[in-house]
Amino acid sequence: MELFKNVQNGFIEMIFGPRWTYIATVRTFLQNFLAITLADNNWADVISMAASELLENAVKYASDEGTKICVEHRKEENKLYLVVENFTYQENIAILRSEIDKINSGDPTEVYLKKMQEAALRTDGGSQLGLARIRYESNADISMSVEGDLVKVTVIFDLK
Amino acid sequence: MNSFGIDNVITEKANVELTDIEGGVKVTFCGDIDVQNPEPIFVPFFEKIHNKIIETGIKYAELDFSKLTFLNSSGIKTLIKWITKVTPLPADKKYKFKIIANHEITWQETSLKMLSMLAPGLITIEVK
Repeated sequence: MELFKNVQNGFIEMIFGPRWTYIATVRTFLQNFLAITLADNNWADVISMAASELLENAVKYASDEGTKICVEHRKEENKLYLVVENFTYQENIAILRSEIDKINSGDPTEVYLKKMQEAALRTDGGSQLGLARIRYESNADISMSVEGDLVKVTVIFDLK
Repeated sequence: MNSFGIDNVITEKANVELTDIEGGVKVTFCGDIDVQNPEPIFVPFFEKIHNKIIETGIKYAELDFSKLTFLNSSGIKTLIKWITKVTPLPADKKYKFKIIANHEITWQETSLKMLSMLAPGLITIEVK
């Protein structure tokens, strides 16, 4: 990473090992930082919650060292891009792809309610609620891309 | 200590306390619930409360989240598991929830409102 002049879109990038204890630290930092950057505590709360949920997934399903989070405020679009990357196994990638398809398949409230009903019956320790919660609470656009065993989840918040 | 004799839950970052109130019980959540798997901690605690409520015929449980700063989706799942234990009960065994949320904590209004949709008619929300 290098410093350059005339920064149009400020961003934060962090790379760390997949350790659960880092998640709360990153969440708190983002909440405080975004509250100042966006001058909006509500968006700061929602985006830091979303970052926390994505990082939980990244840490839970990591197959290797290296978790990356990038938060970029694109002022000209009035949008904020939250991107979380991690290495994982192909079976996890397939599950994630299926989950994102489901999350994007309907009304955010209805999808979240359905996921909550399904969560009540789950006994495997997972909730699979995080992505549905993000979409319901923010109406953000959620997508993913894959390069080998590297998975990248992008959440775009429309700040208008 | 509460009249149910149930121990409170104290974790590194959260404290969940059960107290007696007039006509029911109150569960007060403080701190952050963000552990990787909160189920072994909270599901047995909520089950004990639920079973005692049924046993004693209490009809009201107040859940006060106003001092809870963060709740991850796995934590939400433990609440869903409690609430969905009440919905299939016969009418004479059902009890009602009141959720207290803090308007200064953004996720509370949205996330906690969704819980009420899981059990229509059983949950009211007060936002302070």
